[in-house]
Amino acid sequence: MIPWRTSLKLMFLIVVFSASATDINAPAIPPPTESNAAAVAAISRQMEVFSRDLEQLRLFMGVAKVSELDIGIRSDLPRDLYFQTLTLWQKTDRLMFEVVRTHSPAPSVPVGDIDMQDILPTLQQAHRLLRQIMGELKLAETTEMALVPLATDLFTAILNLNRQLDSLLERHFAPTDVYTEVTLAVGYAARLLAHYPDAIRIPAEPPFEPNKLPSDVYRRLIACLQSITRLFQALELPVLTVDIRQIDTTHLTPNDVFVVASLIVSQLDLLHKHLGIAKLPPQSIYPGLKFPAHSYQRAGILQAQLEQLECYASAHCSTPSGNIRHESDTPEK
Amino acid sequence: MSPTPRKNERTLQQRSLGRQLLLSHLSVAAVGLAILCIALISTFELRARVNLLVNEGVPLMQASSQMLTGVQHSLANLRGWVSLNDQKFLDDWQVAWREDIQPALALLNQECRRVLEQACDLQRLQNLKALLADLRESQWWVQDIAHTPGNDPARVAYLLDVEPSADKLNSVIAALLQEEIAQDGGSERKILLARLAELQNAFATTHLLLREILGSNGLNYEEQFRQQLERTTATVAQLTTSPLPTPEQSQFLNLLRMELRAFTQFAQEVIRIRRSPNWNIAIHTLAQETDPLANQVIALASALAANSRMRLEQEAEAASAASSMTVGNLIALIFIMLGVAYVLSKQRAEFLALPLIALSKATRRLTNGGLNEDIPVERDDEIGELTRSFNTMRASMQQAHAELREANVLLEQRVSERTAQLAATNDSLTWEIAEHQQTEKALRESEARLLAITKAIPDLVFVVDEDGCYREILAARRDQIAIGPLRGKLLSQVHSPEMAEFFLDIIRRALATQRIQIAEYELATPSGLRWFESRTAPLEVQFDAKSAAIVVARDITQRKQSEAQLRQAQKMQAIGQLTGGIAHDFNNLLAIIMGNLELLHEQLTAQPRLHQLTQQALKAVDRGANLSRRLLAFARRQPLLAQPTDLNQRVLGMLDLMRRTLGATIQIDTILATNLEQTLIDPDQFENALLNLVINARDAMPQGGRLTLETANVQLDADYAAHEDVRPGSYVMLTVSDTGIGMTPAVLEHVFEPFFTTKETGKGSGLGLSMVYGLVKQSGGHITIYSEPGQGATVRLYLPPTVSAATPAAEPLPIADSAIQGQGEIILVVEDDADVRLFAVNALQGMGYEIQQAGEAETAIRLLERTPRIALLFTDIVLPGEMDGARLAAEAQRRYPGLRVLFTSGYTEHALIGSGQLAEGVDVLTKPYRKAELGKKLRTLLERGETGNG
Repeated sequence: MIPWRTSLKLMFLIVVFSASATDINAPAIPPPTESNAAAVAAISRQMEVFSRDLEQLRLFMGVAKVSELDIGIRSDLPRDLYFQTLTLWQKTDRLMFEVVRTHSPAPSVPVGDIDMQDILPTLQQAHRLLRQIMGELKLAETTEMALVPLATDLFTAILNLNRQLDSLLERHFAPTDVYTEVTLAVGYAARLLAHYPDAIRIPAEPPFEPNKLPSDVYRRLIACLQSITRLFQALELPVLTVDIRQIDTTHLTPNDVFVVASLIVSQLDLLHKHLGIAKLPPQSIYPGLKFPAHSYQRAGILQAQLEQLECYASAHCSTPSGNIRHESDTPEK
Repeated sequence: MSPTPRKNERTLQQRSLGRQLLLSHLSVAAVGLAILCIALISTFELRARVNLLVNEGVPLMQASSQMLTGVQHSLANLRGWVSLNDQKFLDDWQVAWREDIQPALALLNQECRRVLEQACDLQRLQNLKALLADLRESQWWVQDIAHTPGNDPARVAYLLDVEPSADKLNSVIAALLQEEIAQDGGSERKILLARLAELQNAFATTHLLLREILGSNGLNYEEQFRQQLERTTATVAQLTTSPLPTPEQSQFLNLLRMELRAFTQFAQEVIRIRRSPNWNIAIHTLAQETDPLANQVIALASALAANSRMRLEQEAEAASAASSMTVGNLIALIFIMLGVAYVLSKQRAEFLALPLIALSKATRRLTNGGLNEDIPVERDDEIGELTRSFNTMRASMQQAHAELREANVLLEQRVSERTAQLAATNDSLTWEIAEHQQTEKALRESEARLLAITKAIPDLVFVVDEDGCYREILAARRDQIAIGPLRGKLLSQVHSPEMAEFFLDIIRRALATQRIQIAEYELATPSGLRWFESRTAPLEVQFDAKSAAIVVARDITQRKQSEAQLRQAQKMQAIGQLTGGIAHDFNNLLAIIMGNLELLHEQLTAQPRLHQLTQQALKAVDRGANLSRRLLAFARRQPLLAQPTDLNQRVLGMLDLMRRTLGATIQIDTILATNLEQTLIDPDQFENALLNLVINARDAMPQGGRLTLETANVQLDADYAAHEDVRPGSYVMLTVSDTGIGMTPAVLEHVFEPFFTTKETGKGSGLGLSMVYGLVKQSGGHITIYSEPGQGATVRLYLPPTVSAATPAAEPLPIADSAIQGQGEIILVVEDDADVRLFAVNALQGMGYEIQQAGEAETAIRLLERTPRIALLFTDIVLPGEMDGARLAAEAQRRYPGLRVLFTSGYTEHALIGSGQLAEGVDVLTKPYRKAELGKKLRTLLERGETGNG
């Protein structure tokens, strides 16, 4: 006989996630329509142009070319592409502030599901900012440099653009940005856990462990992402793939860690929307001195939250709050 | 009538009576049972309601109250954390959740689930849980953001946008100023320089005001900021339109204008954010989100508490009603039961009582001797049977009564005989008891006497058997010897194996010889080592077939100590006599040697070599004389000129000498009593003794140290005197303490003996302390020395006090060596030693005196008779024959009043000198003496006589 609490949870999960799954399935794996193909082509073309102009700007600013780095994540889902494009826009805006001393209004986030058509406008806005920067620097658009076709998929390409753009910034994406993004993810997870009466929405913060490197934060966030992946798989939702077995983590920068954090936010945002949660998580900014150790500590909260969610999503979860734990070291090497 | 029908009839009758009794009891029991059942049901009802009250209502109310308190505490602490940034508030906030809210919620959850729909609404509980979770989350975000810059978005905008812009503006203005200073132009350009400085100041003020806006009352500065920004912008505009800037400066100015525009935009954005109601996210969230959530939680918890309270009140009322009803029912039933019991009991009592009354009357008649009539049998039940039995019993009793009368007569006869026998036996026993009591009384008196004896005697008295087991302890002086309980113990359990064997041997010898065995031994007791003298006598009684002896042990420790002291005193006395005798003979020898050497020395002035040799010989004789004097001092034979002396004055007077003697490495401390009494002692000898003690102290402190001299008036009591060779009473004490190497007990034992020294050969004579000892003893005092190795030494001199005031000794007028010549006076020299006499005669003749000489007193008397002009009698105190020097002098002075007398002696063992203190008016010249000393002494006496006569 199933205890009444467990049966309550199961019922709750079935109602919530089955509805969500059916909603997600339709737009998440878009049928190979003409419009989608056109959107992908347009995005690809826009990225090539952005890449060319960024290269011109890089040369003008005398910044070394950044090597491409595989962070072990692959995705062709619009929401992942969109959030990385949004990061590209944020970095371009920051660069514009540093050069032109102006900010641009943030692009409006699409209401409802994100599809390929939502990506291009954001990418174009980012490109316009880039052009504005070039204009400020009296850097005329050149046609001498030919467009270089993308050598990778869109997701990897946009990650590389982000990485190169970060190198041009005076104020790089730093641990403080990672901390802010992880805190945002904690807020999302707390909102999701609010559906479960017995859940501990924000578990106790794990003890502060100094001497952490970006690679340590990366591993903990990857563990979170893997937890989300399992959650999505349990719900039969499409999800990005994570494989870090061949990844060299020694050269990871806070920028790369931020990518992982923003991907977590994008996944949680999807669940958040599809559960119809009206209340948005608090979006705080934590400027000032933060170290990878701080982000590592905060990611511990997120990890414990995701383990609870994972437990609730499984059919045999018993008192998940009693099993909350924090890995003192990175779960996967 | 056959037996069987009779039996059946009887059984039937019995059943009838039993049934009636059973019925009455059963009816009473039934009523009681009914009451019990009703009471039981009512009690269960009450119990159920009370349980409900205790198990449901109270925990629910407690949990609700705890919840309310916890939520209020959490809110208060969160506000404290947001306002004051004190970590304690944060800790208390966590405690409120952990120890109040969460346990209360768990309790509510548990109780609600148990009683479900009766007192707790499950939906309401779920709502409460959800609200609490929302509240916790909301509070977490507030505490997380409260003290980060992100809590203040305006500040974030300032940090991210304004500050880089302000930095750039400052650097451009600085570059402009640098450029202008580098121009080094004329007075015209000074205007530009002044403008640039003005711009720098204006922008700095603008920037400062913008930062002020970020503060809690920052919006008060908004107007000032706008005015200052306008001034800055105007200054930039003026500079831009001025013809003075160089092309490079113009480029900088353009850059400045553009950056100032950006700065202005960012500043306006900062002000806009600062003006918004949520400029402080934590406070805003608290007000907008956390507080409403808390209010909802409080409302829900209050509702739960109110619900529980209402439920409690209802249950309490129901319980009260049930209780009242139960009491009413019970009272009614008790009355019914009493009524029923009364009626039934009355019927049954009458039914049973009437035949019993008839029986009772018959019994009384039977008692009064009416044994002739039967009671008529009217019933066939148990009562009828009882009547028949009574009649049978009456007949039997009638027969027995007759037999009893016969037996009684016989019995009375036997009793009379037996009584006579018992009377005889009783008389015999009474006599024996009287005898026994007399014996017991005698025994008790004997025991009392023995007990008194054993209490009175100061000894240990006990009985030990042949195996060494203590059988009786008759007297044990536990107060002094502190022995433990001994009875039943073996000697080997109480004493060391050697001592146990020793005691056992004594006991066995006493038993074997049947004689008293006397033994002395030293025994370790809890109060220390003590000496005992035991007398062991065999006992004639036996203990468990074992022979035993009685032991009387006396503590003779004090006697032993006194014996040891006596031995020491006798030893010192013997040494004193020995040394005194030696010194006497030695002095005579020295006197001869010294006199002859002196004469030789005078005659060898023309031969320097020989003169020097005699001088050295004289020095050696002096040393010998000094040695002899010290021996005499130890032997208490030196003549002393005792007089009242203030020891403080003597000590203070010697301080300089002592400092020189001790050297710089030894510090001298004095602790002198202010009211010190005077003592009777020879001051010169005292100083000599003190110097000896100081020298000893110096030698004990080769590395330096501290010497302490202390004087005091002390009282030596009888207890102290009992252990020391001293009379009890008041004394003047001088203590000489050093911090030197100290002495071992073995050294201390011999320290006062002459020639005993621990110093290297040639460094000490071993006579210093013995001389001090002799002086103190000769002066009627006492000396102690206390020392331990490494702990220094303390010498205490106890000298008798005197009431007479100290008078400075009359110093004899100094007589020059040249003034010792005689003027022809006749001197009678009496000396039994011919050599000494010869020296004296030669010396006096050499000094111009006329000499008469004699070897004994009788010759001297004759010479006095023959030569009345003799001016002075110079006589040895010790003379052969019946008349010694003192008697000679007395006889001579009796015959020739005014005759001066000068005594000489090798030591003072004479009544003239007594215990060493010279009698008043007696002049003594101690041997050996120098010629000059003799001359001076004679001149002093002769001149004193002339002055006295004149």
